[in-house]
Amino acid sequence: MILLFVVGGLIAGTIIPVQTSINSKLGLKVGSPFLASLISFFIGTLTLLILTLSIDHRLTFAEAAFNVNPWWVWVGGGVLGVCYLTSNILLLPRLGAALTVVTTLCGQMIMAICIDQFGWFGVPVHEFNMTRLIGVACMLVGVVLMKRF
Amino acid sequence: MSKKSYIATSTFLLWGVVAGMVSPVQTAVNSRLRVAVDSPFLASLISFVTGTMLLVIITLITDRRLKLDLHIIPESRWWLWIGGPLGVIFVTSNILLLPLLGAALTVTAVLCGQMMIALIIDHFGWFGVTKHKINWQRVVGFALMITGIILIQHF
Repeated sequence: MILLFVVGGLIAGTIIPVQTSINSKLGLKVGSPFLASLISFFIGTLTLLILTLSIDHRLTFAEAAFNVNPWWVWVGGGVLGVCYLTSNILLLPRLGAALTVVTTLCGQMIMAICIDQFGWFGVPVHEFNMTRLIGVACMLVGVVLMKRF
Repeated sequence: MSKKSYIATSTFLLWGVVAGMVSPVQTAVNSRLRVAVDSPFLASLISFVTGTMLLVIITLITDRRLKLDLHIIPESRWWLWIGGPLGVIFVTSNILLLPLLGAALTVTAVLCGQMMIALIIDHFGWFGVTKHKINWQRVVGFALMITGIILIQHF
């Protein structure tokens, strides 16, 4: 059963480079990477509207949520998603698919280690150790190999 | 490689690293939003609506237009328009897999999938990407990336 979910995770991962490639192509077609991002987000919004209505049967939530949560909870995800998607669209034609993926992965791992180390966003602290350092070194060598050849 | 193109490539690589740093922060923020509104789908929707509004502003500033030549819609391949739904599938699968596999295994599986398909896209030059054939150095690089991810995620 676990294996089935792992395969699910693998397939979910294949989506990102395909999406980036498609959006890059869309950017060329409409003549602007920003307009391409906008179209992608807009169609995604419509898809989620239908999904939310059919699964949750509501689009509302408790108003009290506004008072107990900091402002960045509401805008952070969208703003960061835009940075990520648009950067990917701009980088793909310049770096190729593999190099775009591996550099963003390095950034992802570095940030994840920082979040764990300092316990940001309420995550339990997980201190940096030798094994993690070797892991980072492996990833950097991996990027260099993919970049050079 | 000339000095100028070397600087350009280094800038793009650095930019990629910074863009990647955004991703775990986004996940942390969205997880909190999910608790706040008590639905993973509603949380994704709020995230997408905010992103769409921000992109309307950015597009208006950089391009000074929001107009799309409508005639390109029928003459384009259908898959040109599915980037958004793919993003939705990605976000939702992550949310659904996380409690089933745990964070470390979810991240490892997703990232492996990501790199495998990226190597394949480069190899065949799909979606108009410049062709870049798989060679043993790229395979070793791929194996090192996976080793690194496993070491970081599981220890």
